[in-house]
Amino acid sequence: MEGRGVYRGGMKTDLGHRLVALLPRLRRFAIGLCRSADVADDLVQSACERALASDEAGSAENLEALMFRIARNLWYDRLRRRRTRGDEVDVEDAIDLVALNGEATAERRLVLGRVAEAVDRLPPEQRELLLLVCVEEMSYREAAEVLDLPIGTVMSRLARARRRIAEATGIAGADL
Amino acid sequence: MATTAFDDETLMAFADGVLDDEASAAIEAAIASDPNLAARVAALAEARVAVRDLHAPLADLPVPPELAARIRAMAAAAEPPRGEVVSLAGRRRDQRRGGWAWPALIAASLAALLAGPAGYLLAVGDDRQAGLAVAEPVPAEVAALLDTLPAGAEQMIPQVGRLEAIATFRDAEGSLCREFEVDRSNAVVAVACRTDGAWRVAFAVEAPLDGGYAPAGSLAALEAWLDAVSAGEPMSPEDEAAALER
Repeated sequence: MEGRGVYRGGMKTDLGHRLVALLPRLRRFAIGLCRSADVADDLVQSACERALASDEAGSAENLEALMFRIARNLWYDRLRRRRTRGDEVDVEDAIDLVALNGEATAERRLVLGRVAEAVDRLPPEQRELLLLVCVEEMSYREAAEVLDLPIGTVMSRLARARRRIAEATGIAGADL
Repeated sequence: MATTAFDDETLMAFADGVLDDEASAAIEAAIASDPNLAARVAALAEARVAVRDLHAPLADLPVPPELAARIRAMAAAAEPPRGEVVSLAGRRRDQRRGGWAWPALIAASLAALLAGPAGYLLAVGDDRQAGLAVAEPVPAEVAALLDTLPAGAEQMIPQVGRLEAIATFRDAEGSLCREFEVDRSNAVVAVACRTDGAWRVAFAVEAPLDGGYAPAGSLAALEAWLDAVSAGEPMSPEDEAAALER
């Protein structure tokens, strides 16, 4: 069955199953990028559509990295178009990340609230790196591939972002 | 001061556990006598944990069932029609680039799959005339279908099996060739080429049906063979129809 599957009838279906399995994480990344579940779902769907139309996704060694890359590029593409049209990015239905951490202690939620604000203030190129490495647990190398950056740039940018988060939230030593 | 000897990138890699042993040991030694360095490492580590904690619950949000359903539907719609071999041609190209060891694969596959010393496949009972044998003409009822059946279509041949036309292409000599499959208890994947009006078997492998489909091994052998004879790309339905007319 499987042999025939990669031959004709089944290859795309198989890719579809793998994409569906990736959805929770792909959505998490997309929501982290655009902050709205609706926008994120739209983004995720478009990314899957692209993947299904492409020849490379089915045989990609790292489908996950490829999908993050497609979703991310689509998002920036949309942002660019919106900016040229003068539209504001809709944050009406922005997801409250801290509220999702309902089980954390009050003190921890306070810290997370400050982290959320600090993440929001980060330039997008630093934020996406935090999402890929800190949240999705990609290696620096994988993140570099997703973002098409030299690994040195990834490391310096990521360190900068993490330092900023630490400073903004008081989790860093005062004498930093 | 020792702290300045380490930049944030190095300390971050240390905090993430991806720094090499030698550099890690140097940082560990320095941390022991430098609280400031320890604080920098802790801050970089804690920032990671905080960002992760903040976003982690997002993956637990239920995926909207309609989103998953749309993706499954798109996948099904992207599936090439059964019998189309365009993707096969694509795969052949890919594999050629990848440098597969074709001769070894051909030998292994054919040795495993070719049936009987005479190479007759599909024989009905002891009636060898109804079978397929390489270089021999195909049985009349098979020939009639090869002359007419478009790729993707299938038809039952009584006492032989279900014949499905897979693709039509020209070999290196320009002869018209058809890939087809006959499924009965076993799957026979074969290619016949038409010379002087007669369809002769150019390639045939037989393998047990695997869940109703020809297993991968027989297809690998076929692809190897197609590659070896420089088979042309599968024809479009229009080209196929025109070629079969003649």
